[in-house]
Amino acid sequence: MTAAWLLLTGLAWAQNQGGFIYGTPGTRNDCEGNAPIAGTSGYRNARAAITTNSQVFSAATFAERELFPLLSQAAQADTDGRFAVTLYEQAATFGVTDVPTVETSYPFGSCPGEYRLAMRPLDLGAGALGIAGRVGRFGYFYSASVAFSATGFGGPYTRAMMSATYMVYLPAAVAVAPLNWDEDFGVSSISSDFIAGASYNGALGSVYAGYVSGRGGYLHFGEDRLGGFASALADRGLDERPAYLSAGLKGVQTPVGRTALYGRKLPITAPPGYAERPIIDEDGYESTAVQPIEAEPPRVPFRTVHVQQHDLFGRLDVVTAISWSPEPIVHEAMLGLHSAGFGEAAAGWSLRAGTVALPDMYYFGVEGGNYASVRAEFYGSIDDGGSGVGGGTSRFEASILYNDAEQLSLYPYARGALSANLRIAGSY
Amino acid sequence: MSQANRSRATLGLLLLGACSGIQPMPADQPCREAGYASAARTFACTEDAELSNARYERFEAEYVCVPIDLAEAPENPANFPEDDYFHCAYAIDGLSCDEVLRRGDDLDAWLRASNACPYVVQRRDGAAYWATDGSDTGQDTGGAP
Repeated sequence: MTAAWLLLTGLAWAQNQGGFIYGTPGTRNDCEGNAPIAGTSGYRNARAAITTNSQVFSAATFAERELFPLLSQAAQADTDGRFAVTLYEQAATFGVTDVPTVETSYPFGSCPGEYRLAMRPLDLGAGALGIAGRVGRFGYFYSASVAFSATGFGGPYTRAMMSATYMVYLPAAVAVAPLNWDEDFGVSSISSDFIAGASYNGALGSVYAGYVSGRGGYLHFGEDRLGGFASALADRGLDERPAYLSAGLKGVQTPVGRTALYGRKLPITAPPGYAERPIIDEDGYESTAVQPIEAEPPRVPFRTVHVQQHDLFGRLDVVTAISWSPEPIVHEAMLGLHSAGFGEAAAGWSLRAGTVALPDMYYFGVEGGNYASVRAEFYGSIDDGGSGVGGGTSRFEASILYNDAEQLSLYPYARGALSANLRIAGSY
Repeated sequence: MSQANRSRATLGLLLLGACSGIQPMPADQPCREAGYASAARTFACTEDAELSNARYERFEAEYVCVPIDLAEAPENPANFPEDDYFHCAYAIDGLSCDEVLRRGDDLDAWLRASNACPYVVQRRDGAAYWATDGSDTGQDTGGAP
């Protein structure tokens, strides 16, 4: 086994070295040095996607979105006043936008001429870990996250293997996230942060107070029973996440299953322009760098009405959404099939397929139209008696999304993007 | 084809679409990027998505793209020389909102943001859109074809 591993490593090294021999005929795998071209829609979209990815998977957002609700669920199953939860989530979105790039390895190495100016897909990845617990009314919490982006490398096989490698090593990166990296190279980036603190569970809900790395104090109030929440990063007093408003009924039991009817207002952020601006680096030297012109670009609402009928005949889902602003279209039409008792049984699966329709968005460099959409979800769980001492639950979830409305709400310029998500949770 | 094989084939097609590698750049990409940049700046400065889309549609209707020679990739994109294919989009993307509002619906004025625009964009009616006296943006058009 060791010999085989060394052989593979050696072959990979030899192949890599071959790509650098000047003057030899190469393939697109040899186009290894590239720079994104500022001023293009792909560059603007990539910068926006990096920001969204790091916000959605920041440690504080992850704690509020996943960790604290999981703790509240465990509290309801608790029998002795002592319990803890752990959670790990990993997500990747491939091809969120195409970035125009120019080959920069001089004098072009073995990169074929047709790829010296190229369109490179941007891939996003993120991983987050959460740990929290309570003893009586007092508790603790910790969450750490890593978010990164990279332009696709070489052909499909090389890109897939490189992406798989990133994702395999991601848990190790999350483990050392408190080192607080924040590196940015064109449209390739990596950032990490963590949040840690203590909580108090009172009659009205839970108060979480802590420290967010690199940003300062943190305060969050979670109302356990009704699901209300309010939070603020104490040093800024504002919430930078891409917020949306949603109102309606999301799960009413009817004679034909479970019916949902709700409206949503999702802000679409205008892409800022980019221009060279003077900067002063860490050592005090003045230079120029391409920077956004607008610090806070305007947002316009994308309004949708959602009508969903779940569990028809115990197995079927019909999901539709109509957009009336910026223009009236049938935004989403999906038909789904799921296993019996999906969501409540110990294990289950769900598969939805249909179309999403999107308006022209030339400001993002994309045309409107109908796109095939697929969403597949799987989960399994083990429950051996609640979250008290001697008992616990574990749950594994995985999903694959292709042109899914959830992706498009985060990355409205994404066309043909594929997301793969993994979530492992336990309460003890 | 069995159900399992059909499922595998579908998944394979999805993965192929999402996992394509780098692709050669379309020859009209620098031109279209100039149009996209004007739409993006319009949106950012007016908060009007419909107006920004309408301006891009006018750009497509009234102008024609000059295909670039992909073999002539710039060797040092960091400097963005004005004869670079992408300087047109880059200059439009860098316009301040005052400059955007001053240009308004005058697409010729948008394209005078860079001397490089005539290399990648021409009017459909064949007329020149670049100024000869350096007015509007303060740039002359010495290199324009």
